[in-house]
Amino acid sequence: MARPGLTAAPPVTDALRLPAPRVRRRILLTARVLIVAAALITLVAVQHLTALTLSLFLIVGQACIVVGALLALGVAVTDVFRRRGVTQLRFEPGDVVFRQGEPGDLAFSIVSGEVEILREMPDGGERLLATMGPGEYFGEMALISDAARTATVRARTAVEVVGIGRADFTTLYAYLPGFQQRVETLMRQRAADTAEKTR
Amino acid sequence: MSGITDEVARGLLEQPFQRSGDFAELGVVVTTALAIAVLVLVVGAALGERRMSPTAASALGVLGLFVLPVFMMLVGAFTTVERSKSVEFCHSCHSAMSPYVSDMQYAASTSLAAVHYKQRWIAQNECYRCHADYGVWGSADAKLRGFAHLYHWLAGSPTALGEEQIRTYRRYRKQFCLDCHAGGADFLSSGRSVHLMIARNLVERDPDTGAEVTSCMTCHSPAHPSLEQWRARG
Repeated sequence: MARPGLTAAPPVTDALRLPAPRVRRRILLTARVLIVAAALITLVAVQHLTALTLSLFLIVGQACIVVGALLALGVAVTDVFRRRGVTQLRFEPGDVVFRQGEPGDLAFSIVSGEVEILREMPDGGERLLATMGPGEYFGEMALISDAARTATVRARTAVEVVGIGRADFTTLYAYLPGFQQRVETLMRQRAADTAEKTR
Repeated sequence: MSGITDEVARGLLEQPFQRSGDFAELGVVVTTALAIAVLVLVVGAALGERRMSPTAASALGVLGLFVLPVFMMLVGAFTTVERSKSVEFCHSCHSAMSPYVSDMQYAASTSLAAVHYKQRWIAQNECYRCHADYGVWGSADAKLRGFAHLYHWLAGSPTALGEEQIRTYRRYRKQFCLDCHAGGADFLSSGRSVHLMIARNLVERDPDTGAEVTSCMTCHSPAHPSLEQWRARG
């Protein structure tokens, strides 16, 4: 549902659809576990070579490396696409889009669904700063200021977003007439809102 | 005047030549270093991912999860396969291999393997030199058979446990002997007529079975004692 005064973004059909970040994290974790297991098996095999450790290395260790390396390569390639162009991503309710303090590499425009913008407080709690819906965008501050994320963004519902990589976003920011002014106005407005809500 | 005593000189002659290192030893060092580097990078990247820039995290991921592991796989495979050619590796299956390795290294034994060993006609990897095909696929074939041996050992097969006599897969091929002996002065001069017959057999085969007509083992056996002979020796 679009906010009053905002137009809902049209469904994106041409943007490259990448695996959900949750899937990416699982694939990366699997690759890490496989490669760590392979490294440990390799260490045991070269330090204490017997028929058993040799077979373990040649069958299990090598298989772990091949599968783990291919999974990691797949993640790396999709990461390049993610950062270099315009991609479509899907988050499930409760998924964290990004966390406060992380470096930023994407700005997001919401196609459908809702996200909540949260400020992590020093006492460990969270304060809701805003909710955003279709047609709104977030994550641009870290790209423009080249600073860490200033808030955590979590999917409130199932969310479809378009991710715009740093290079593309900063190019548009520099050269698209009126875009810089609009973003800066919005950033000032958000900063004022945040100051008000965290006072 | 040399300061080396006769005793020291004799000791030097009796000890096999000590190499300063070979590719397999270098492989152990490189593989170990690669494995440790992979562990450090992968664990470090997982712990510090949130503090790194996405580009740095991605580069570290490619290095730790793809580039170094692939090198580790290649160097590790070379190292382990090379080291698995050693007598010590074959002897790591004590129950099955002890009769043959111990006999080979027993100074008083007159078996063909023991004579080769004590004369150092084969400088190293004695088991492998006589039992693996010298061709391109020799090592691969030997290692594939090795997997089958491991299966027999895990399954508790009587041959793997040293309870039954091990038999070779096929009749021992004289090409394995000739790889070293053919053309040698001793081989050509001693038993000349017999060895000429063997040469003929290289191309002549039994017309019915296709088997080689004469084997080196016909005259030069046993290569190893049988399990029974080994047991009888105590």
